Amino acid sequence: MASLPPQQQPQRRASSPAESARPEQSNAARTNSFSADSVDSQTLLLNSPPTESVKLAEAEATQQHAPAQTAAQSTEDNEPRRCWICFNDETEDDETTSEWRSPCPCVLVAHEQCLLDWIADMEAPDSRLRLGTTKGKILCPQCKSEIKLVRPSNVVVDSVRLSEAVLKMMQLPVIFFFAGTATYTTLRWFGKDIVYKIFGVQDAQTILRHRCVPSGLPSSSITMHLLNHVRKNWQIDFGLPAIPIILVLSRTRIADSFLPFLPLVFLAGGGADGAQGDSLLQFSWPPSAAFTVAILPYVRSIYNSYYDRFWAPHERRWLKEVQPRAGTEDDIEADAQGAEDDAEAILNAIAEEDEGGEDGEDIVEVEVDVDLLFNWNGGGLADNNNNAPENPPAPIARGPAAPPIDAPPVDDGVPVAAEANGGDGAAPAPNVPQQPAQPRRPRIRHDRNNFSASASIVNTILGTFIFPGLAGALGEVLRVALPKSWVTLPASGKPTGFLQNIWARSIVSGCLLVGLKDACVLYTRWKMAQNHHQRKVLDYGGSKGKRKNKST
Amino acid sequence: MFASKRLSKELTKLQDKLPPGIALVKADDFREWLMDIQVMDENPIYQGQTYRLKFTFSQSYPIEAPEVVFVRDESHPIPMHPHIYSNGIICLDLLDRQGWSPVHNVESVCVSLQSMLTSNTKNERPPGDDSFVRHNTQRPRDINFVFHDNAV
Repeated sequence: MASLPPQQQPQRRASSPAESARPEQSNAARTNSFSADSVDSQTLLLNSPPTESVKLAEAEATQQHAPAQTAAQSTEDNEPRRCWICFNDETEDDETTSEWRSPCPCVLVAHEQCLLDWIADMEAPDSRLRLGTTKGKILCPQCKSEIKLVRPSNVVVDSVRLSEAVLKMMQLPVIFFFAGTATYTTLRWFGKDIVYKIFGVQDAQTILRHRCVPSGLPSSSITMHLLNHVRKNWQIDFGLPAIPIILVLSRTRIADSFLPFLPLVFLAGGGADGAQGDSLLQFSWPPSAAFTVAILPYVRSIYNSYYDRFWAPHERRWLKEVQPRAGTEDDIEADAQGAEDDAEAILNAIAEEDEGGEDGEDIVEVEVDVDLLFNWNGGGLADNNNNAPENPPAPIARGPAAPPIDAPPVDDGVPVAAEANGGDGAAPAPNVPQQPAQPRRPRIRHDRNNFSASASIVNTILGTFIFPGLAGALGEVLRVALPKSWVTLPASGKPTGFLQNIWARSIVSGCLLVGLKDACVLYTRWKMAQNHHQRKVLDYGGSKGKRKNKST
Repeated sequence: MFASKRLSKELTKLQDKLPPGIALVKADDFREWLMDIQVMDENPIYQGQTYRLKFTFSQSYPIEAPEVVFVRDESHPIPMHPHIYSNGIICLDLLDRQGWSPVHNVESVCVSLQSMLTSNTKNERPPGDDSFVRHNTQRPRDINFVFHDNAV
């Protein structure tokens, strides 16, 4: 630091009478010969033999700048000191050389300027990023004791450095905070939206309002206020965002084990403090909303096991039939195929179940036969329109022999499909029978797995957010379609039938939707299997070569 | 100026006396020196071989560490060591910014490398040597090694 020489000069000038009195002494004791009255050679001052005045000046100097200097001085016994940084020893010092410092207990001594250079390098901002561990502490490389610095402090510099450090520390938390808040708000919004769709505006407001009461009493402090708020509103604060999460989970099998208990926490918990004779939360016939919601997961489990028991085997069989391996003539053989095929079928079934939504079917169709996609679309739509209020498995109950009711839309769909897809659409289908089956099968599975990994997550989530809307809409359809006495609340206000509440209609139609969806899927599988056997390749005769479905 | 002054002092000392197994090959300027090292004991991996080290000094040596790599020519292979890549780059903490301090010098670096080889028992390259050698375009000093093995 440059502060040293200018401060020392006045002191030396003050003591100049004493100095001038001993020039020869000083010269004799030193290896290099600076004259005593050379004003700017600090080294002379430090290493000259003690006279009273010089000692005094030196004492003052060391007091101000370097308390450790006396230690440095003691090491210069017989050998000249050698700077451990520039390797110069004191015999080479000239007027530009800086002070000697011995900042630590070990024998290392160095020029102050060398030390400061080295420290500056260690502290350089970009190396600080990498260093991390030795923050701000300079250690002697040999004895590892700390080297202390005195540096002028400046409020501005310090505060800027501090705020830089704080900002750096806050980066990650802030990112997490914003991401978390955004996620939470989105989830909460979805949850609220779902509640509105299922329960209808009025009931939803009742549910949300009596839990959203702002704590009326002025609280003593902010923390108390927050605590009160949390205590009163935790069901909203945690329950609402949890709804979409649970809905998504409920479309997978992950949550099967704990799902049945969650609604109890959310809704039944509210019965204790919140319900002021609220019909939403009482056990009676018709069952209350809480009871119904709480029972839903069990209904779901029962339905799932029913499906697995009775329909999954059929689905697997139908799926297998449209695989290239199972040719038209040996479907019996295909049925009876060994463990190898079963394994594949299970794989397929798992993949299908994960995909869940109707969109998932596209993957199969695209792979197997593009035309069938349109078959399915036509059939599915028709099913939705015609059979909506009916018993879900009805379409499947029709035997294979019976002519399909929905045949006309199916047939309409075929030419459109063939034209729309042109060459690439028709290309895979003719390949199917000719190609050796073995090489093709692994590819199918591979493609599907690739697809489902990302697609199934998106499908699941998308389906989840569409589902409540669909259920609510279908509930409205129910209201219009069913007899008035079933769906209108009596004037007395107490419901007498289950379907008189909006939420009940929504839930019922949600269940219907699930059933319908599965019915459509099953019908599609069955129909695909049927159509698969009846495909034909037409000879080129007319203007266009296209395949025609002969099922009608 | 700073660097060359210190290097000239080191050079004087190197020309004067060197530990066994270490030899000064070429020090024409204060930018690049060549040193040879040999492993002096009976380590079968390195027996009878001489390795050539290239030191490259920046203007701010010794504040900044020198760049030290093994160089290969017909008589000098790259030693096999789990911390030495086959292109000669050495993963040693004292050559890195964190580990370096001006208290080290050319001689002490040579001695450290010598003992690093002496104590080695594994006749192998670092994991990922192939891809590192193929893809590395950084200078050794800019590589951020992670020093996990303190037994070198």
